[in-house]
Amino acid sequence: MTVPYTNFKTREGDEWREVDTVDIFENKKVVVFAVPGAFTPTCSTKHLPGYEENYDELKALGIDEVYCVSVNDAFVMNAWAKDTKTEKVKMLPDGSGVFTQGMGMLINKDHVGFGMRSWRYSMYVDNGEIVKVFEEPGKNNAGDDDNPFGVSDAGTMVKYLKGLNAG
Amino acid sequence: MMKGLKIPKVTFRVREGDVVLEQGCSFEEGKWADKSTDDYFKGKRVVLFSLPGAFTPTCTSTQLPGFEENYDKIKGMGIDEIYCCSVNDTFVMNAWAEVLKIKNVKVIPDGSGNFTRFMGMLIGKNHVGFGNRSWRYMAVINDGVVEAWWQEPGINNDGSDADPYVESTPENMMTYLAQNK
Repeated sequence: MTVPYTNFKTREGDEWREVDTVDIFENKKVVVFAVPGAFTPTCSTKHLPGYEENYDELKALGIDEVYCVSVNDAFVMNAWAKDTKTEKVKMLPDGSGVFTQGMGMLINKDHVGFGMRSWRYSMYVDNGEIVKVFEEPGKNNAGDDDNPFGVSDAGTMVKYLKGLNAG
Repeated sequence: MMKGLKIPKVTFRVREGDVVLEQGCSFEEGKWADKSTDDYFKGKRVVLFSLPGAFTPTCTSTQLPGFEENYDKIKGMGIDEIYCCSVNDTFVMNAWAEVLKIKNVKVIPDGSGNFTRFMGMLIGKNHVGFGNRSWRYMAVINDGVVEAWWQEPGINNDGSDADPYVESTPENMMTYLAQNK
């Protein structure tokens, strides 16, 4: 499966910049991880900082870029990056949910007043081809989960890529 | 005309008591609360303004700070509370209020868009990758009924606007309230 084509509306400085999945994935080895929302607890305290901390190691393992995707707009994603002092991981604002829907990861989080968001997962993408997905267990629309965070972390991804390189 | 409209019954999911421990990003102290439109509007005369998104330029630089600055003045004109609503979740709304050092205006997180949709103000902003958001408007709401209404011209779904901000200003609100205490 290839990544779903999406044109992301990002903000750079005071300007809009469109970045599509071709720009992001073509001829690159990319790690993507998705979170339910900017400024939310698990993502802020563990998920995003974990990838930021492991960024250099991921690069050393042959990864060209690491992206954090969330169904939030570009302004919110940039504000969150600033707030968490994220400088290496790049933000992908999927406010319209197009990418997340194409991934089959768009879930309803109305139980917390969030609207449609992303289930938590990570993946390794080689030249647009999804090679490996680490999806948290129990994907659902009803909120009958405690927002699991066990397999989509940076540590698991590092371990997986090490195995891939060794193999 | 929106005057006389009884506002819809909606329950909002709100985070309260979150403590910022490091980098604005630890929320373990807080808890969830349900806040209904009755909690916000029943038996009160309030100002409500709604905007396309937290952390967006006009709202951040002008509209929300403008209402915050004039909070005491507006309160002195027969208003009990000032609410800022947006189709954003409670974490984002709280983070935005904190960054802007908002102490007085209260934020209402309509992340699911139910309130905004029932008000007829939910619009598509996919041209900027936002999904569905609120058109910009403000109102005086007296015990759950719209007493006065301002909305920006040219409501649309396709982004054929430059995000107008001429009607829903604190200045227009104060002009009205001065004559309608």
